Amino acid sequence: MNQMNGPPEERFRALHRATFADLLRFVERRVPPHEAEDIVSTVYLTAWRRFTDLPSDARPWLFAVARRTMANQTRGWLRRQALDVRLAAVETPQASDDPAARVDLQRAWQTLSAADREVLALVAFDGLTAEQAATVLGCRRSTFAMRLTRARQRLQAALEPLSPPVLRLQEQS
Amino acid sequence: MNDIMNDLARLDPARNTEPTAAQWARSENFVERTMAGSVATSTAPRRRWMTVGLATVAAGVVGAVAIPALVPGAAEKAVASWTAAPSARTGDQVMPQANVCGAGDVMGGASTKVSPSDVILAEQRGEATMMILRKANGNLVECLLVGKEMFASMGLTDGTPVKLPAAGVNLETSSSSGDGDDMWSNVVGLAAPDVTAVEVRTDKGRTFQASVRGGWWGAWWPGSEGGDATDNYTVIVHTAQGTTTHKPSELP
Repeated sequence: MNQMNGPPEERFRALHRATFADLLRFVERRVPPHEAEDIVSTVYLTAWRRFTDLPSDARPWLFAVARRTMANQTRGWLRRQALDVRLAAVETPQASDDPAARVDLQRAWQTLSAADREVLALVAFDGLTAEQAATVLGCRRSTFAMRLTRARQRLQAALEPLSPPVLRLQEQS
Repeated sequence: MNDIMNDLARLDPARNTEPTAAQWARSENFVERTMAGSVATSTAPRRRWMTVGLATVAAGVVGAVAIPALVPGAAEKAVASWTAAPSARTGDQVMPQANVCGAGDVMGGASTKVSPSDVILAEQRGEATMMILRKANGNLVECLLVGKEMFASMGLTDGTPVKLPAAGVNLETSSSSGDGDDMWSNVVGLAAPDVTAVEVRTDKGRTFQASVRGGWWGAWWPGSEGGDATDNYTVIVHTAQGTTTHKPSELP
Protein backbone atom coordinates (compact mmCIF):
# COMPACT_ATOMS: atom_id res chain seq x y z
CA MET A 1 0.00 0.00 0.00
CA ASN A 2 2.94 2.31 0.57
CA GLN A 3 3.78 2.34 -3.10
CA MET A 4 0.54 4.04 -4.06
CA ASN A 5 0.43 7.79 -4.36
CA GLY A 6 -1.75 10.23 -2.50
CA PRO A 7 -2.52 10.94 1.14
CA PRO A 8 -2.97 7.91 3.41
CA GLU A 9 -6.64 8.67 3.97
CA GLU A 10 -7.34 8.45 0.26
CA ARG A 11 -5.35 5.27 -0.07
CA PHE A 12 -7.16 3.73 2.86
CA ARG A 13 -10.54 4.63 1.37
CA ALA A 14 -9.42 2.99 -1.87
CA LEU A 15 -8.35 -0.11 0.04
CA HIS A 16 -11.74 -0.23 1.70
CA ARG A 17 -13.60 0.13 -1.57
CA ALA A 18 -11.50 -2.61 -3.15
CA THR A 19 -11.76 -5.15 -0.34
CA PHE A 20 -14.93 -4.60 1.68
CA ALA A 21 -17.21 -6.89 -0.30
CA ASP A 22 -14.70 -9.75 -0.35
CA LEU A 23 -13.87 -9.31 3.32
CA LEU A 24 -17.52 -9.25 4.36
CA ARG A 25 -18.19 -12.43 2.37
CA PHE A 26 -15.10 -14.07 3.90
CA VAL A 27 -16.41 -13.36 7.38
CA GLU A 28 -20.05 -14.18 6.64
CA ARG A 29 -19.02 -17.68 5.58
CA ARG A 30 -17.63 -18.30 9.04
CA VAL A 31 -19.74 -16.51 11.66
CA PRO A 32 -23.42 -15.67 12.08
CA PRO A 33 -24.36 -12.82 9.71
CA HIS A 34 -25.29 -10.42 12.48
CA GLU A 35 -21.75 -10.63 13.87
CA ALA A 36 -19.91 -10.18 10.59
CA GLU A 37 -19.91 -6.40 10.37
CA ASP A 38 -18.36 -6.05 13.84
CA ILE A 39 -15.51 -8.29 12.81
CA VAL A 40 -14.98 -6.47 9.54
CA SER A 41 -14.82 -3.19 11.45
CA THR A 42 -12.16 -4.60 13.74
CA VAL A 43 -10.15 -5.65 10.72
CA TYR A 44 -10.23 -2.17 9.19
CA LEU A 45 -9.32 -0.60 12.52
CA THR A 46 -6.31 -2.89 12.69
CA ALA A 47 -5.48 -2.15 9.06
CA TRP A 48 -5.51 1.60 9.69
CA ARG A 49 -3.26 1.21 12.70
CA ARG A 50 -0.89 -0.91 10.63
CA PHE A 51 -1.40 0.83 7.33
CA THR A 52 2.28 1.42 6.72
CA ASP A 53 2.96 -2.31 7.24
CA LEU A 54 0.34 -3.58 4.80
CA PRO A 55 1.68 -5.59 1.88
CA SER A 56 0.84 -4.55 -1.68
CA ASP A 57 -1.53 -7.50 -1.93
CA ALA A 58 -3.55 -6.50 1.10
CA ARG A 59 -6.54 -8.83 0.73
CA PRO A 60 -4.90 -11.97 2.20
CA TRP A 61 -3.49 -9.84 5.02
CA LEU A 62 -6.99 -8.56 5.81
CA PHE A 63 -8.38 -12.09 5.68
CA ALA A 64 -5.66 -13.25 8.07
CA VAL A 65 -6.55 -10.51 10.54
CA ALA A 66 -10.24 -11.39 10.17
CA ARG A 67 -9.48 -15.04 10.81
CA ARG A 68 -7.63 -14.23 14.04
CA THR A 69 -10.35 -11.84 15.11
CA MET A 70 -13.02 -14.48 14.55
CA ALA A 71 -11.02 -17.12 16.39
CA ASN A 72 -10.61 -14.76 19.29
CA GLN A 73 -14.22 -13.68 19.43
CA THR A 74 -15.44 -17.23 18.97
CA ARG A 75 -13.96 -18.07 22.32
CA GLY A 76 -16.57 -16.03 24.05
CA TRP A 77 -19.49 -16.41 21.70
CA LEU A 78 -19.52 -20.09 20.98
CA ARG A 79 -17.92 -21.54 24.06
CA ARG A 80 -14.64 -22.26 22.34
CA GLN A 81 -16.06 -24.12 19.38
CA ALA A 82 -13.65 -24.29 16.51
CA LEU A 83 -13.99 -21.75 13.75
CA ASP A 84 -15.64 -23.43 10.81
CA VAL A 85 -16.86 -22.69 7.31
CA ARG A 86 -20.51 -23.14 6.47
CA LEU A 87 -22.05 -24.36 3.26
CA ALA A 88 -25.09 -22.92 1.56
CA ALA A 89 -28.32 -24.48 2.77
CA VAL A 90 -29.34 -27.50 0.77
CA GLU A 91 -32.84 -26.09 0.52
CA THR A 92 -31.65 -23.32 -1.80
CA PRO A 93 -30.26 -25.09 -4.85
CA GLN A 94 -29.46 -23.19 -7.98
CA ALA A 95 -31.14 -23.91 -11.26
CA SER A 96 -28.14 -25.65 -12.77
CA ASP A 97 -27.58 -27.93 -9.79
CA ASP A 98 -28.05 -31.66 -9.65
CA PRO A 99 -29.87 -31.93 -6.29
CA ALA A 100 -28.55 -35.42 -5.55
CA ALA A 101 -24.97 -34.42 -6.27
CA ARG A 102 -25.43 -31.37 -4.11
CA VAL A 103 -26.61 -33.46 -1.17
CA ASP A 104 -23.73 -35.90 -1.67
CA LEU A 105 -21.24 -33.05 -1.66
CA GLN A 106 -22.77 -31.58 1.48
CA ARG A 107 -22.54 -34.95 3.22
CA ALA A 108 -18.95 -35.37 2.12
CA TRP A 109 -18.15 -31.87 3.34
CA GLN A 110 -19.53 -32.70 6.78
CA THR A 111 -17.18 -35.68 7.10
CA LEU A 112 -14.15 -33.41 6.78
CA SER A 113 -12.33 -31.78 9.65
CA ALA A 114 -12.76 -28.05 10.20
CA ALA A 115 -9.14 -27.63 9.12
CA ASP A 116 -9.80 -29.39 5.79
CA ARG A 117 -12.92 -27.30 5.22
CA GLU A 118 -10.95 -24.12 5.89
CA VAL A 119 -8.28 -25.03 3.35
CA LEU A 120 -10.83 -25.93 0.67
CA ALA A 121 -12.94 -22.85 1.34
CA LEU A 122 -10.02 -20.47 0.92
CA VAL A 123 -9.67 -21.66 -2.67
CA ALA A 124 -13.19 -22.69 -3.68
CA PHE A 125 -15.12 -19.91 -1.93
CA ASP A 126 -12.68 -17.08 -1.33
CA GLY A 127 -10.94 -17.56 -4.66
CA LEU A 128 -7.44 -17.24 -3.28
CA THR A 129 -4.28 -18.55 -4.85
CA ALA A 130 -2.13 -20.96 -2.87
CA GLU A 131 0.25 -18.11 -2.11
CA GLN A 132 -2.54 -15.90 -0.80
CA ALA A 133 -4.18 -18.70 1.17
CA ALA A 134 -0.85 -19.50 2.79
CA THR A 135 -0.67 -15.89 3.94
CA VAL A 136 -4.13 -16.17 5.48
CA LEU A 137 -3.18 -19.32 7.39
CA GLY A 138 0.30 -18.10 8.27
CA CYS A 139 2.07 -21.03 6.66
CA ARG A 140 4.39 -21.60 3.73
CA ARG A 141 3.00 -21.97 0.23
CA SER A 142 4.29 -25.52 -0.03
CA THR A 143 2.63 -26.42 3.25
CA PHE A 144 -0.66 -25.01 2.06
CA ALA A 145 -0.39 -26.85 -1.25
CA MET A 146 0.13 -30.13 0.58
CA ARG A 147 -2.79 -29.47 2.91
CA LEU A 148 -5.00 -28.58 -0.04
CA THR A 149 -4.09 -31.74 -1.91
CA ARG A 150 -4.88 -33.90 1.09
CA ALA A 151 -8.12 -32.10 1.85
CA ARG A 152 -9.22 -32.48 -1.75
CA GLN A 153 -8.36 -36.19 -1.67
CA ARG A 154 -10.37 -36.67 1.51
CA LEU A 155 -13.32 -34.84 -0.01
CA GLN A 156 -13.09 -36.96 -3.13
CA ALA A 157 -12.83 -40.15 -1.06
CA ALA A 158 -15.88 -39.16 0.95
CA LEU A 159 -17.82 -38.75 -2.29
CA GLU A 160 -16.93 -42.16 -3.66
CA PRO A 161 -19.06 -45.18 -2.77
CA LEU A 162 -17.56 -47.88 -0.59
CA SER A 163 -15.66 -50.62 -2.38
CA PRO A 164 -17.54 -53.92 -2.73
CA PRO A 165 -17.04 -56.29 0.24
CA VAL A 166 -15.43 -58.95 -1.95
CA LEU A 167 -12.80 -56.55 -3.11
CA ARG A 168 -12.02 -55.52 0.43
CA LEU A 169 -11.64 -59.18 1.46
CA GLN A 170 -9.19 -59.70 -1.38
CA GLU A 171 -7.20 -56.73 -0.25
CA GLN A 172 -6.92 -58.12 3.26
CA SER A 173 -5.75 -61.59 2.17
CA MET B 1 -9.90 -25.23 -9.96
CA ASN B 2 -10.80 -28.78 -10.91
CA ASP B 3 -14.32 -30.18 -11.12
CA ILE B 4 -14.74 -30.99 -7.47
CA MET B 5 -13.62 -27.52 -6.48
CA ASN B 6 -16.00 -25.99 -9.01
CA ASP B 7 -18.81 -28.11 -7.60
CA LEU B 8 -17.85 -26.98 -4.13
CA ALA B 9 -17.85 -23.35 -5.18
CA ARG B 10 -21.53 -23.69 -6.03
CA LEU B 11 -22.18 -24.42 -2.35
CA ASP B 12 -20.58 -21.19 -1.22
CA PRO B 13 -23.04 -19.60 1.24
CA ALA B 14 -21.91 -16.14 0.12
CA ARG B 15 -21.91 -16.92 -3.60
CA ASN B 16 -23.09 -13.97 -5.69
CA THR B 17 -23.90 -11.90 -2.60
CA GLU B 18 -22.97 -8.25 -2.42
CA PRO B 19 -23.01 -5.92 0.57
CA THR B 20 -26.19 -3.94 0.84
CA ALA B 21 -26.18 -0.18 0.47
CA ALA B 22 -26.67 0.09 4.22
CA GLN B 23 -23.69 -2.17 4.89
CA TRP B 24 -21.54 -0.08 2.57
CA ALA B 25 -22.70 3.11 4.29
CA ARG B 26 -22.04 1.76 7.79
CA SER B 27 -18.59 0.52 6.86
CA GLU B 28 -17.61 3.71 5.03
CA ASN B 29 -18.77 5.70 8.01
CA PHE B 30 -16.71 3.48 10.27
CA VAL B 31 -13.62 3.94 8.13
CA GLU B 32 -14.02 7.71 8.23
CA ARG B 33 -14.38 7.68 12.01
CA THR B 34 -11.39 5.35 12.31
CA MET B 35 -9.21 7.72 10.33
CA ALA B 36 -10.50 10.64 12.39
CA GLY B 37 -9.50 8.76 15.56
CA SER B 38 -13.00 8.74 16.97
CA VAL B 39 -14.23 5.22 16.59
CA ALA B 40 -15.92 2.65 18.70
CA THR B 41 -15.46 -0.51 16.72
CA SER B 42 -18.48 -2.51 17.64
CA THR B 43 -22.15 -1.77 17.47
CA ALA B 44 -22.72 -4.59 19.92
CA PRO B 45 -22.03 -3.11 23.36
CA ARG B 46 -22.00 -6.49 25.04
CA ARG B 47 -18.53 -7.13 23.65
CA ARG B 48 -16.89 -3.83 24.38
CA TRP B 49 -15.01 -2.35 27.19
CA MET B 50 -16.88 0.59 28.56
CA THR B 51 -14.24 3.25 28.72
CA VAL B 52 -13.52 6.90 28.36
CA GLY B 53 -11.14 6.22 25.49
CA LEU B 54 -12.11 6.74 21.91
CA ALA B 55 -11.00 3.63 20.07
CA THR B 56 -12.07 0.39 21.59
CA VAL B 57 -11.69 -3.17 20.44
CA ALA B 58 -12.53 -6.13 22.59
CA ALA B 59 -13.03 -9.73 21.68
CA GLY B 60 -14.41 -12.66 23.51
CA VAL B 61 -15.92 -11.11 26.57
CA VAL B 62 -19.35 -12.13 27.66
CA GLY B 63 -20.83 -8.76 28.30
CA ALA B 64 -20.25 -5.13 29.06
CA VAL B 65 -22.67 -2.28 29.58
CA ALA B 66 -22.30 1.30 30.64
CA ILE B 67 -20.75 2.15 33.94
CA PRO B 68 -22.09 5.11 35.88
CA ALA B 69 -19.00 7.25 36.29
CA LEU B 70 -16.65 7.70 33.37
CA VAL B 71 -13.84 9.90 34.45
CA PRO B 72 -11.75 11.60 31.78
CA GLY B 73 -8.07 11.45 32.43
CA ALA B 74 -7.98 8.29 34.54
CA ALA B 75 -6.84 6.10 31.67
CA GLU B 76 -4.13 8.59 30.78
CA LYS B 77 -2.91 8.58 34.38
CA ALA B 78 -2.88 4.80 34.34
CA VAL B 79 -0.84 4.62 31.15
CA ALA B 80 1.62 7.26 32.31
CA SER B 81 2.32 5.45 35.58
CA TRP B 82 2.31 1.88 34.23
CA THR B 83 4.93 -0.54 35.55
CA ALA B 84 6.08 -3.84 34.04
CA ALA B 85 5.93 -5.62 37.37
CA PRO B 86 2.58 -5.55 39.16
CA SER B 87 2.15 -5.57 42.91
CA ALA B 88 -0.31 -8.23 44.01
CA ARG B 89 -3.19 -6.92 46.10
CA THR B 90 -5.49 -8.77 48.47
CA GLY B 91 -9.19 -8.13 48.63
CA ASP B 92 -8.74 -6.24 51.88
CA GLN B 93 -6.28 -3.89 50.24
CA VAL B 94 -8.55 -2.91 47.38
CA MET B 95 -11.94 -2.63 49.03
CA PRO B 96 -12.49 1.01 47.96
CA GLN B 97 -11.92 0.02 44.34
CA ALA B 98 -13.88 -3.23 44.71
CA ASN B 99 -16.89 -1.29 45.94
CA VAL B 100 -16.77 0.94 42.86
CA CYS B 101 -16.29 -2.06 40.57
CA GLY B 102 -19.17 -3.95 42.15
CA ALA B 103 -21.49 -0.95 42.02
CA GLY B 104 -21.13 -0.68 38.24
CA ASP B 105 -23.93 -2.05 36.13
CA VAL B 106 -21.71 -4.14 33.85
CA MET B 107 -23.24 -7.62 33.74
CA GLY B 108 -26.18 -6.32 35.73
CA GLY B 109 -26.89 -6.56 39.42
CA ALA B 110 -24.99 -3.70 41.04
CA SER B 111 -23.49 -5.14 44.21
CA THR B 112 -24.27 -2.96 47.18
CA LYS B 113 -22.12 -5.09 49.46
CA VAL B 114 -18.75 -6.37 48.36
CA SER B 115 -16.48 -8.45 50.57
CA PRO B 116 -12.75 -9.05 50.23
CA SER B 117 -13.40 -12.65 49.25
CA ASP B 118 -15.29 -11.42 46.16
CA VAL B 119 -12.00 -10.14 44.78
CA ILE B 120 -10.59 -13.02 42.76
CA LEU B 121 -7.52 -11.23 41.44
CA ALA B 122 -6.17 -7.75 42.03
CA GLU B 123 -2.97 -5.99 41.09
CA GLN B 124 -1.49 -2.53 41.15
CA ARG B 125 0.62 -0.98 38.39
CA GLY B 126 1.54 2.59 39.12
CA GLU B 127 -1.69 4.42 39.82
CA ALA B 128 -3.92 1.77 38.26
CA THR B 129 -5.70 -1.06 40.02
CA MET B 130 -6.87 -4.01 37.94
CA MET B 131 -9.21 -6.54 39.46
CA ILE B 132 -11.48 -9.45 38.67
CA LEU B 133 -14.50 -9.36 40.96
CA ARG B 134 -17.42 -11.67 41.56
CA LYS B 135 -20.62 -9.65 41.75
CA ALA B 136 -23.54 -10.49 44.01
CA ASN B 137 -25.35 -12.09 41.06
CA GLY B 138 -22.42 -14.44 40.46
CA ASN B 139 -21.19 -12.73 37.31
CA LEU B 140 -17.49 -11.96 37.04
CA VAL B 141 -16.33 -8.55 35.90
CA GLU B 142 -12.95 -7.02 35.29
CA CYS B 143 -12.39 -3.41 36.32
CA LEU B 144 -9.58 -0.93 35.84
CA LEU B 145 -9.44 2.03 38.17
CA VAL B 146 -7.21 4.89 39.23
CA GLY B 147 -8.04 5.42 42.88
CA LYS B 148 -11.83 5.25 42.93
CA GLU B 149 -12.11 6.42 39.35
CA MET B 150 -13.08 3.47 37.19
CA PHE B 151 -12.12 3.93 33.56
CA ALA B 152 -13.03 0.52 32.20
CA SER B 153 -15.17 -2.44 33.10
CA MET B 154 -15.88 -5.64 31.23
CA GLY B 155 -17.99 -8.71 31.88
CA LEU B 156 -16.03 -11.97 31.90
CA THR B 157 -18.62 -14.62 32.71
CA ASP B 158 -22.37 -14.74 32.97
CA GLY B 159 -22.34 -16.61 36.25
CA THR B 160 -21.95 -20.10 34.85
CA PRO B 161 -18.99 -21.91 36.41
CA VAL B 162 -15.80 -21.63 34.45
CA LYS B 163 -13.79 -24.71 33.55
CA LEU B 164 -10.09 -24.29 34.11
CA PRO B 165 -7.73 -25.59 31.43
CA ALA B 166 -6.24 -28.98 32.21
CA ALA B 167 -2.80 -27.48 31.69
CA GLY B 168 -1.37 -24.09 30.87
CA VAL B 169 -3.61 -21.14 30.13
CA ASN B 170 -6.34 -20.11 27.76
CA LEU B 171 -7.24 -16.68 26.43
CA GLU B 172 -10.68 -15.38 27.28
CA THR B 173 -10.28 -11.90 25.86
CA SER B 174 -7.71 -9.70 24.20
CA SER B 175 -8.49 -6.06 23.57
CA SER B 176 -7.19 -2.55 23.26
CA SER B 177 -8.67 0.81 23.98
CA GLY B 178 -7.82 4.49 23.90
CA ASP B 179 -6.24 6.60 21.23
CA GLY B 180 -2.77 7.61 20.12
CA ASP B 181 -0.15 7.58 22.85
CA ASP B 182 -2.79 6.72 25.44
CA MET B 183 -3.77 3.40 23.90
CA TRP B 184 -3.67 0.44 26.22
CA SER B 185 -4.21 -3.30 25.87
CA ASN B 186 -5.69 -5.91 28.13
CA VAL B 187 -5.65 -9.69 28.15
CA VAL B 188 -7.45 -12.06 30.50
CA GLY B 189 -7.59 -15.84 30.57
CA LEU B 190 -7.99 -18.87 32.75
CA ALA B 191 -4.98 -20.64 34.25
CA ALA B 192 -4.56 -24.27 35.27
CA PRO B 193 -3.55 -24.90 38.88
CA ASP B 194 0.00 -25.80 37.85
CA VAL B 195 0.67 -22.37 36.34
CA THR B 196 3.10 -20.49 38.54
CA ALA B 197 3.55 -17.33 36.50
CA VAL B 198 2.61 -15.74 33.19
CA GLU B 199 4.48 -13.11 31.23
CA VAL B 200 3.60 -11.18 28.09
CA ARG B 201 6.18 -10.16 25.48
CA THR B 202 5.17 -7.78 22.75
CA ASP B 203 6.76 -8.02 19.33
CA LYS B 204 8.19 -4.56 19.98
CA GLY B 205 10.30 -6.12 22.71
CA ARG B 206 8.47 -5.16 25.88
CA THR B 207 8.20 -8.02 28.40
CA PHE B 208 6.19 -7.79 31.57
CA GLN B 209 4.52 -9.91 34.23
CA ALA B 210 0.86 -10.81 34.26
CA SER B 211 -0.99 -11.51 37.47
CA VAL B 212 -2.15 -15.04 38.27
CA ARG B 213 -4.60 -15.89 41.01
CA GLY B 214 -7.78 -17.85 41.60
CA GLY B 215 -7.64 -19.69 38.29
CA TRP B 216 -7.34 -16.46 36.28
CA TRP B 217 -4.46 -14.57 34.72
CA GLY B 218 -4.52 -11.04 33.37
CA ALA B 219 -2.45 -8.08 32.39
CA TRP B 220 -2.78 -4.68 30.80
CA TRP B 221 -0.13 -2.50 29.18
CA PRO B 222 0.31 0.66 27.14
CA GLY B 223 0.00 -0.10 23.43
CA SER B 224 -2.44 -1.42 20.88
CA GLU B 225 -1.27 -5.02 20.57
CA GLY B 226 -4.17 -6.60 22.44
CA GLY B 227 -6.73 -5.40 19.93
CA ASP B 228 -4.70 -5.57 16.76
CA ALA B 229 -5.58 -9.18 15.99
CA THR B 230 -2.20 -9.65 14.35
CA ASP B 231 -0.60 -12.05 16.84
CA ASN B 232 1.90 -9.40 17.77
CA TYR B 233 2.54 -10.50 21.32
CA THR B 234 3.51 -13.74 23.03
CA VAL B 235 2.20 -15.30 26.21
CA ILE B 236 4.92 -16.99 28.26
CA VAL B 237 3.59 -19.59 30.70
CA HIS B 238 5.66 -20.90 33.59
CA THR B 239 4.89 -24.13 35.43
CA ALA B 240 6.96 -26.44 37.61
CA GLN B 241 7.59 -28.50 34.50
CA GLY B 242 9.07 -25.64 32.53
CA THR B 243 8.18 -22.69 30.30
CA THR B 244 6.07 -22.59 27.16
CA THR B 245 5.40 -19.72 24.78
CA HIS B 246 2.25 -19.13 22.77
CA LYS B 247 0.94 -16.63 20.27
CA PRO B 248 -2.62 -15.52 21.10
CA SER B 249 -4.10 -17.41 18.16
CA GLU B 250 -2.50 -20.61 19.42
CA LEU B 251 -4.16 -20.45 22.82
CA PRO B 252 -7.46 -22.28 23.33
